[in-house]
Amino acid sequence: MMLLGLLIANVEAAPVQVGGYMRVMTRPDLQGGNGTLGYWNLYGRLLNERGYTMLDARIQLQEADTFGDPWSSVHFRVEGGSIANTDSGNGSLTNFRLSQVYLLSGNTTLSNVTWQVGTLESYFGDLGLYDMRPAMIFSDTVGISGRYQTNRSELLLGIGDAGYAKYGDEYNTVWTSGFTLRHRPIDQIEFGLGGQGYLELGTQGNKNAPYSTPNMDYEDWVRGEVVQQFDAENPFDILEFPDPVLQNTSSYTTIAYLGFGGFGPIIWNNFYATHRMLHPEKYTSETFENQEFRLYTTDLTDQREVLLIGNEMQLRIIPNKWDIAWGLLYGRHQDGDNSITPSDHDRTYASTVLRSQWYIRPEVHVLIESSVAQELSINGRAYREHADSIFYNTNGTADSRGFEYGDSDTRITWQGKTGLVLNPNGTGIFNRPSLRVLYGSQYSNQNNAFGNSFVESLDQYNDFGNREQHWHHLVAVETESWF
Amino acid sequence: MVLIYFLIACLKNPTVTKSPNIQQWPTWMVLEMETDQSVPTSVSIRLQDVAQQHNIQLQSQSVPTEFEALKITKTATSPLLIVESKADFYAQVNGRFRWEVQVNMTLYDGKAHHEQQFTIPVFHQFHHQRQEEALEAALPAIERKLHAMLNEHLQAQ
Repeated sequence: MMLLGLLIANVEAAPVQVGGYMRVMTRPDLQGGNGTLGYWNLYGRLLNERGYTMLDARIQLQEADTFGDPWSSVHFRVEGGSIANTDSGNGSLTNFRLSQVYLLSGNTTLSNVTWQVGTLESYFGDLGLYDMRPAMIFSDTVGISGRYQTNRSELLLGIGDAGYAKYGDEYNTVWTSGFTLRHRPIDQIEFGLGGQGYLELGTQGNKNAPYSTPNMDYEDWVRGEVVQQFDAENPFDILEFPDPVLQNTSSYTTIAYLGFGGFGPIIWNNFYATHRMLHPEKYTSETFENQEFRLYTTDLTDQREVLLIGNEMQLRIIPNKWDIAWGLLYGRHQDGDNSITPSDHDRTYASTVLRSQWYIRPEVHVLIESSVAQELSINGRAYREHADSIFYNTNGTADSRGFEYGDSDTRITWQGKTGLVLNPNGTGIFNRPSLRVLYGSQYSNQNNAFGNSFVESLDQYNDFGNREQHWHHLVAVETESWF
Repeated sequence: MVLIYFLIACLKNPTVTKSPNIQQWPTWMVLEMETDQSVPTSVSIRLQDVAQQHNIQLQSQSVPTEFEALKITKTATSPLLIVESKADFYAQVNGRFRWEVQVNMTLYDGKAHHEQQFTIPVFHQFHHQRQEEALEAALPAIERKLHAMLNEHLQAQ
């Protein structure tokens, strides 16, 4: 309130600026896909991402006349991943959200300190080749933060609530606070670290608080047979199905960053590492004899960890003629509760992407990119290598009680991309705007390893048949710009 | 290759109107910081090159810590150029650090002042890139504006 009071007392004319981002493309697919070369950004973002738009409006409430003067502004951000005629959403506004609203106020009470009230998202930087931001905090937080910034150092402290981001209309308060610290001792090196903690307190009587249903077996839960099993063990006692037990839950994120460059051919190198203990999930439902039972799952989902390490190096091989960007990514997802079924929470992946860009003229570039990636399912087979995978399964027989999905626990993917880039603003791999005409090719050991509508059933009544293909080719015309 | 040649053929170089004689203009190129300072030499050299194409030599003047354009223009009797610039951080936008570069270019042709104000958004990849890098990133747009301003000035003569 004190902050708002200070602002209102100094409101001036409100100039509005609008910035944002857009990428839009067409990628007609002659192999039955939906227009992406592969499944996701692990193989490099190029040709694997769909369209996206973002508008960020800034309204200046109070402009600083000179350095050190108080200033304040309000930001509104709307973003979404659908554009008419380019994807299945057809530009519907249901695909968009008001993702950020915040007030910034600098030098108001303390010099070099910027207060932020509202949404608080902050990150050290990103991996441009993957379009990933591993070292990010407060992406789910609404609250208040203070950022102290000097020429070489920056300290961010924040506190708020992440309950709505995590649970929506099943809101329960999730207290959260965190910090980042960044320092640049010399021009060529910068490092940072940070973290965010979450605490969700159980309040007896609140149906949205964290609970656990006692004595649930993980395998029964995955199969959706918890209630059925209870009934089998306790005939005619279904009304005695155990009540959930209230719990407190917590989780955390830690991030680290190292940047160096500005010497030799190295323009800059960004290294990011993140370790996250994911927040437990609330509940699932089972229906038994036409009655719905809620199974509270805090105990079964509270050991999920993610380790993500990424590096991106940008090299200037021949100034104004040839640049290279090289990325590496490693991820390990572990679920301490699950040792039986393949899942996104039990896998490792590693990838490398190399992009080379030659400048024929400052505005006309030739791009060549290649990537290799391996994804490994820790709990067994998760990928189908063949249309008739079942015949490649153990003993070639179906296991209707089995958890494994495919006939391989490993997916290996190679992608190559090449094409022309028109950059009105001149040289630079990440210079934008860009108009790109690209051809991409993918080989994967997984069958049809791209978004598609193929029928996978081997049922004799499948009217559409099956298709086996490991190569995928795509051409694209696309444009991308920040503005 | 056909596509490359097609694209190159479509690219237009900016039109350049030349002064019949070589002119020498005193020039102030200012970057507003905590105390005002000259723009980085990487920027001033490129702007001098632009003017050179019009047969105008820009002679960089030292910038006082409290620069005021009015003090210079009100006593000027011969042509001069003042480029005032300021860069401020906007927000993190989709992985980039968005900055805005505000530029005020004043051309005094010996009789009247011609002023152009414009804002150029630039997008840094790295947090350590600040005002000077923002100005460098905005250079292509500033060069185009300077070309247009000098063309207009020379065509009017």
